This record gives sequence, structure tokens and C-alpha cells, in this order.
Amino acid sequence: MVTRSKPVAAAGPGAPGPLTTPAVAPHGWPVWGHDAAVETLQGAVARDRVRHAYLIAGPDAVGKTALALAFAAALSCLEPPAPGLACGACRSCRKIGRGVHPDVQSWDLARQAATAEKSGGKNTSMTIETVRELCATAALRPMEGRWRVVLVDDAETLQETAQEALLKTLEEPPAFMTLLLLADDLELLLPTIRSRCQVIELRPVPRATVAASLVAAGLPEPRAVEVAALAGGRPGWAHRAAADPKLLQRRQETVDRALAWVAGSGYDRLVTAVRLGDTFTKKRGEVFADLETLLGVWRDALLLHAAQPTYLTHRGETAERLQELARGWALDDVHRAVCAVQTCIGDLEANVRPRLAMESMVSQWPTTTTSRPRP
Amino acid sequence: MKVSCLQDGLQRALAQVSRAVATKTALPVLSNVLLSTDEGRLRVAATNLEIGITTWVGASIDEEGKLTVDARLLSEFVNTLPNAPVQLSSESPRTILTVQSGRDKAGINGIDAEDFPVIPSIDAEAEGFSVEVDPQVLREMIGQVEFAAATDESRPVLAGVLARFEGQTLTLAAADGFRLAVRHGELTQPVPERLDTIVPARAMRELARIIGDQTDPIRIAITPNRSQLLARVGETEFLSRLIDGTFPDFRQIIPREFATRLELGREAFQNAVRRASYFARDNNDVVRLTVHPGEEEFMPGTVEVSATAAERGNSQSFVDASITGPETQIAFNARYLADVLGVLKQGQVVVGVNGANQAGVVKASTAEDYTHVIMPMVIGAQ
Ligand SMILES: [Zn+2]
Repeated sequence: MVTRSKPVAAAGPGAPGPLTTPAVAPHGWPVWGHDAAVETLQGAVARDRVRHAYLIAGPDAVGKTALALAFAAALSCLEPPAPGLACGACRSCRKIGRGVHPDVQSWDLARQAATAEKSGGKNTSMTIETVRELCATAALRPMEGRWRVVLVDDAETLQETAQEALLKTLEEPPAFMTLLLLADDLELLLPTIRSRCQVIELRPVPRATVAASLVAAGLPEPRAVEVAALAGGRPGWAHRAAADPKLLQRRQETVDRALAWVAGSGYDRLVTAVRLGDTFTKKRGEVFADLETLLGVWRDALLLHAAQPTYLTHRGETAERLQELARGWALDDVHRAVCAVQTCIGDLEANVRPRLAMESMVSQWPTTTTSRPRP
Repeated sequence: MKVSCLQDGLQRALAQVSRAVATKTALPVLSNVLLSTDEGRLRVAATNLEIGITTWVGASIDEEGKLTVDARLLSEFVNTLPNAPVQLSSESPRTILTVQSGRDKAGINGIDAEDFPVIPSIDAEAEGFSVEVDPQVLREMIGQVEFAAATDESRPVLAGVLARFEGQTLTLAAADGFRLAVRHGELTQPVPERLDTIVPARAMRELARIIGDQTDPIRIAITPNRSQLLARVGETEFLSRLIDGTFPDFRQIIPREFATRLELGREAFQNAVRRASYFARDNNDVVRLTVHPGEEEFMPGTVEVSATAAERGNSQSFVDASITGPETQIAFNARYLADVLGVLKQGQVVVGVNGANQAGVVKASTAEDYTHVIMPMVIGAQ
């Protein structure tokens, strides 16, 4: 399913180097999908044209960290099998694999919570103290290798003062350092930060690629397809879910909730909209996750209507129930519903009053003709 | 690994490296000490990724090996043992260190040595840049300079001490934007070309501590990639990572001539500054020097050292001084004056002034190897 042409540096299938978990994708990096991003970064390493700051943005678990670590490994590998690749076996590659390379440092909320002198209980955003700590060591020359790679995960949570503090390092980056900002949401970063980074946006990975990555990691094919279908294009989530049935179950519950919302009566839909709208300020992340799932459900309805089952996000019973519902709707109606969900997500991001955005969304959904009770 | 060594040697080694053990770290292995067999000795090393300290203990080795264990726990346990042979053993691939002395025994869970950062050895760098310097000279040099480095890290270069190797001279310099300290010292051999490195001030202080009362020359090497400074002090090797960047050209900041030059006794001046500092505390540490030259040429003059705090009161002290140049007044930060007077060894000091708004210089009257520049504080008309 990976069809892009490869740069000279990238090896084809059967690339040298041991196949460890996560398995190496065809472009030679242990990253599934994101071929254009991999190509860009591989090229930067191979041509020795590494930028001092990259901003890797994309949904949670889509593969940002995997990409960043593969980049770090390629930059630091002591015996690269080809320009732009990492051997996966040398001292440097092994240390990066175990997260103990002294020149590859990760900063994120978890680290902040573990090392902050007093976190005050709350640890929902990256603070200026954390950034100061990062900047204080930024000018130290590498310990073991030629490069220092500094990963800042959860970058979308950086407080504004923290972002301003980070700007100083971005303005005068040491020659041997590359800063990788990983963010779920690009828009939450200051334009001045964005403009100093090369932005690499990661989109959801095709479901077949996610399934292939699970098979490569040793999951039996039918189960891989099943997990991949729920992953929403996020290989990181898929691999976690493959190992954690609870995660899979929670995801199924989210899907069921979205389906019940879609299948509900006009009144039920409105009640759900009001309830979610009212919890938005407290549970922003969860509401957005619910809306993303909802969008997937409506998209599936559209695909079923258009008889395009190959690209369905949801399968099995969910798809059957949707198929049933979709029969009562015109194609235009379903399309309008998809657009309404997208608008609602955009409105919420733009701080429109949550209840208003939600109510407006459900008012544009086609009415249900079936009178099944909600599950 | 199977090693036997004496308790006191091991205790000393663990104490020596303990300053490099990380206290607050995202990398658990940095709280550990690396134990490894090394050509008939036991090598003990720690690093917090800013500095690294390695030392060796005489040991009899039955089986080669290496392992890292929690530095604090191992020290605490070893410190309580009698001064008798201690057996250290582990069975690869298990990462448990067994420490045994007579009937006392501990099993300490460790982390694979492979996770420990690579600490280059000074012997391996023999081909690269390497110099020798007298230990007590270096220790004094560090003490006279490091305190002038910036503490706020907003400009990383200023949080370090410049170590410039040029000809047969080592120059250390530190500056924080308000003051500058420069000290020259002699190398035992000239270097082929000038080399500037910037060492974190904290690391410099640690090196001075390790030197202690050592008398054998210290070898200093810079790794070929210019990333680390290594120093061999007796049986101990010290590593500091270097700060990237260019140190400001400090020679431009040092005034060469003074409108008013005063020479006065260091202790009397120091005492006067200390007295004034108690009043200066509530007024941004401002201490005022009012220079009164003698009535006639070559007559001794006085320096009035005064401070005023609106709430607290005021103080004046007078110190005899030989003064050349006209009457003048200048204000300095009391702490800065106290710092520099505290590190000067000679009995007589020279203060050079070019009016109330120009940088002043403090140095010893008889030695030219140390110069300290202090920016004045702005004072209103009195
Ligand atoms: Zn490698």
C-alpha cells in the first residue's frame, strides 16, 4: 500500500538491519505511513541539511514520536547502512531504542510531572520553568555524538510565556542541535514559533497500512484488520490497543455512543448535544474525541451510501446499523451532516459557545425514520 | 563481575564521584554509579550529563564485568561496613550487585552498564589537544574568576568560564554583564595554536574542589570534537561538557588608564565595605566611594566608604590611600566589591576609576595577572 517513489537513500523492502519491534516499514524507518515526512527527514540527514527546528503536528498517536525518534536514530547512528538510515544495532541506535541516549532528550508533561520541584497537583500544560530548564542545557555540546536532538512533546500545551522563552533558543539555535516540537494541534502555537520551524504535518495513516504494521508486529491478520478499523488512522493507538483490550473496549464504547447519537430521535439528539455542550469547558479533550468519532460515523454513512465500503472507519455491527440508517437518507442529507460536524469542530476551536455550536450541528442532521430504541 | 577491594578505598571513591551523581533526573541511570573492571582495578564513575567524575580503586579481579547501581544506596551501605575487604559481584545478564563484607551482605538492583553514558578517558585523547598546569595555580585561578559568571543562564555563554589556551598562557575569564574577572596563569608547555573553550561555572567550581591540595601537575585535554574538557587530577578524571558559543571580547571592556588611581590596604578596605554593606542592603547594595586626594601632591589621601538606607540609617568609614588624580565619587554594588576583595591575596589593592559612569577596575598592586572590572551603579546628586 506504500506506493510513493523512494529517495535514493531509502532502501526498498528487505532493507538491511534487523527487524525489531516496531518493524521497519518499507522506506527503512520504523515509521508506518507518513511517507512524505519520512522522505523529507531522510533527505535532510542524507544530504546533511538538517534544520534547527521542526514542528511535527498531527493527531494523538498518529506517529509523531516514532517519526522523531527515527529521525534522531538516523542522525546519531554510528554505522548507517546507507545515508539517511539507521542500523538499529549500534550503541547509539540501541540507546535511542531504550530511551537512554544522553544526546536525545525528551521533554513532555510526564517528565515535567516527574522532575518538577512542585507541580501543585495540576500538570496539564508545559510551564516556563520546564522550558528554562531545557534552554539552560541547550548550549551544552553533545555528550556522545555529533548531534543533539531535543524533543518537546505535548508542545500544544506550552503556556504562552513558555513559548516565548523557547523562542530565544529558536532564534539562536546551537549549530549541533535540532529541536523537534511535537504537537497535536498546530494552531495552539504562536505564529512566531511556527515560522521558525519547518512544519511537518502528519495525517491519519491509511487503515491498510495500520493493519500491515500490526501484522508485522506479530498480530494475526483478522485481528489486525479489526483493531486497525477502530484506530482512526493512528498506528500508535493501534499498537497500544493490540496490547490492551481495555483500550479497544473504551474505543468501541465511544463508537457506540456516537452511533446512538446519530440513530437517536430529534429530541434525544438535542439532549446529547446540550449535555456535551455543557461539559465542553471541563472535558475539552473528551468532547473533541467524541466529535472526531462522530465525524467518522457520519463519513461511514456517506461511504455506505456511495457504496464505497473499502474506506470505512467502522466495520461489523456498526457498519450494518449505519447501512440500515443510511437507507432512509438522501446522499445530500448525509453530506450536509458531515459538513455540520466539521463546522461544529471548527466553531468549538474558534471558541463559539459550545451549546450553540452543538445545537446548530444536530439541527442539520437528517431525521431518522427507524424507530428503534437507543441501545 | 567478581571483584574484591578494601572498604576505605571504595568509600573514598564513591564519595569522590558522588558530586557528579544526578539528583533530579529524567534518566534513572544517572542516579547510578558505574562500576567496571579496568586493567586490574575497579573503575568508579558518575555523570549528571554536565560533569563526569571517574576514579579507580585498587582491586583484585576474579571476573571482568560492569554494572550500574544506585550511587546513594551503595555509598550508604559501604560507609557502614568495617575497613576490611569487600566483595562485589554480579552475574550477567542479571543486574543485581551483591556487596559482601564478612557476614554483612546486600543485593542492590542495578541497571545495565550499557545504558550509562560514555565517558571518554583522557588517555584515549592523548592525540588531541592536551596541556599541563600547576594544580594550586589552577585552583586559585578558578576561585578568582568563577563567581563572576552569570547565574541566570539566559545567556548560556555567560553562565560559563572562558578557558583560553594561547602560547604558554591559560586565561580564565567570566562576566555577567555587571562585572568581569580575568586571570592569567602559566602552562608548563606552549600550545601550538590558540583554543577557546567555555566551561560551565558549576563545573569549574567542581574541578577546583577535586584539585583540593593536590600537588602533581594536572593534565587538561579537549576532545577532538571540542565537546568536552577532560582533566586528570591524581587518580581522578574529571569531565565537563563545554558550552557552545563565542565569549565576548573581554579585552575591550578593561580600561587601560585611569583618571583617578587609588592604592589602599585590602583588609581595611574590605572591612569598610563590609560595614557599609549592612546599610546598603536596603538600598540595592549601593556603596559609595568618595575619593579625597591629599592636600598636596604625594600626601596620603582618604577614601570615604559610605552607604545610606532611607529606613535604616547611614554609615561612613575612612580608609587611608595613596591617590593620584582628582577628587571623584563612584558607587559600586557592595557584594561585588566584597567578592573581589575576598579573592585577592595581596595586602595592597589598586582601584582605578574614570568618573562615576565608567567601569572601575580592582586588582592587586603588585601582580598583573588578575584584573576585575565592575560597572558602577548610577547615583543621583547628593
Ligand atoms: Zn546505528
